[in-house]
Amino acid sequence: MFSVPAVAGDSVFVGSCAGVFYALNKTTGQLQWSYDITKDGKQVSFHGNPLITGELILIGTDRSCEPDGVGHVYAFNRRTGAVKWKYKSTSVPTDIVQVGLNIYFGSFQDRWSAAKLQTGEPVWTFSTGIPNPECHLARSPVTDEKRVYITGVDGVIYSLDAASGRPVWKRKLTVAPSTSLAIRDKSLFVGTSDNRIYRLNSQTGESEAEIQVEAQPVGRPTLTGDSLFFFLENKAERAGFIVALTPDLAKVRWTQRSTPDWASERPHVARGLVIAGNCRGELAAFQVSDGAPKWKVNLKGCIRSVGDAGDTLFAGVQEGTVYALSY
Amino acid sequence: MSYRILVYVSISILLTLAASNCAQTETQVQTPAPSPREIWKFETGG
Repeated sequence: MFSVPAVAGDSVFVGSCAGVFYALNKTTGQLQWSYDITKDGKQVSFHGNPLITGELILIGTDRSCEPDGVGHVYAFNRRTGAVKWKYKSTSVPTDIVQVGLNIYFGSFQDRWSAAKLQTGEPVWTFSTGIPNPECHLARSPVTDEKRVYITGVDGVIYSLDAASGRPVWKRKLTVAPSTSLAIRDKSLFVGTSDNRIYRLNSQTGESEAEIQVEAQPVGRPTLTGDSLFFFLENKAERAGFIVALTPDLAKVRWTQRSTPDWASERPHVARGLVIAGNCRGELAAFQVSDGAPKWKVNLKGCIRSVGDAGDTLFAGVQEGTVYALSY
Repeated sequence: MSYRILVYVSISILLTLAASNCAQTETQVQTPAPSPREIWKFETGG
């Protein structure tokens, strides 16, 4: 299970690695509805996170880079599970993001698409034309009101016009990005494999600030009111870090080192805590303000995703269990 | 005599306050944050 448990109304939505998308009652865990994507072709995975909008929940599917694998974007009625529309693609391992009446997503083949939210009708596609023989997982796009920002397989960051898909600017950093993008206002944040974190101007792509950190940034960054959180990884030592930075990248607020490295997709921030999980089943919380450890709980399996709603925390493990925890 | 009583009472109050502060600090440090409690789990089978 990779997709982050997403909450809307009285439901929590999760996609399993066995190819079934579930809506569960968030209070009791009882099944509300499910949809088996294997009936639509050779696909089993939900690598990206869903988009919840009005009555719909949209999710992408894939079967990694297998030549005969397929992927879809599904738009489900979130109360009944009825498929409003589905859009067939080679693979859709990214989040589904929205600007206005359109949605945006990417594929393993480095093809980026826009479609109409209400019908799934294609609007445009953009491709870097770069092959992906090592099957790198496409990183999810981010958006502002006018543009879609992607990282191509070629390691170049592109700003695309959301209406037309035309590149507005592209930016190649000294070394390739090692994290997904995060955006706030006119700043784009990304980590690179030479242990650096950059802040780019989202209007021009120019670098406005950068900072050296003690290991390679990985996964997805998380932005909160006054902090930016990244996972770092030292593969040689199998050590993981959570680093908290000021959004201007002027300083590191705190760093927490732990072993093994973190396996959940991003530092999850809720109720004044930064929460992360690893493949030993340890789910740990640190105080946002100073990184002080607050609690640790042991689950069974490799923790890949963390979500929350009010005083309930949801954790998905790769082996297929969804946990609801009161905290 | 009354001066001695006053000094004795003052020192007692100060010692009590100090002990109270120490106890409070100790309690704050030693009380762990409550760990999350499992409400339910759902097996997806993969």
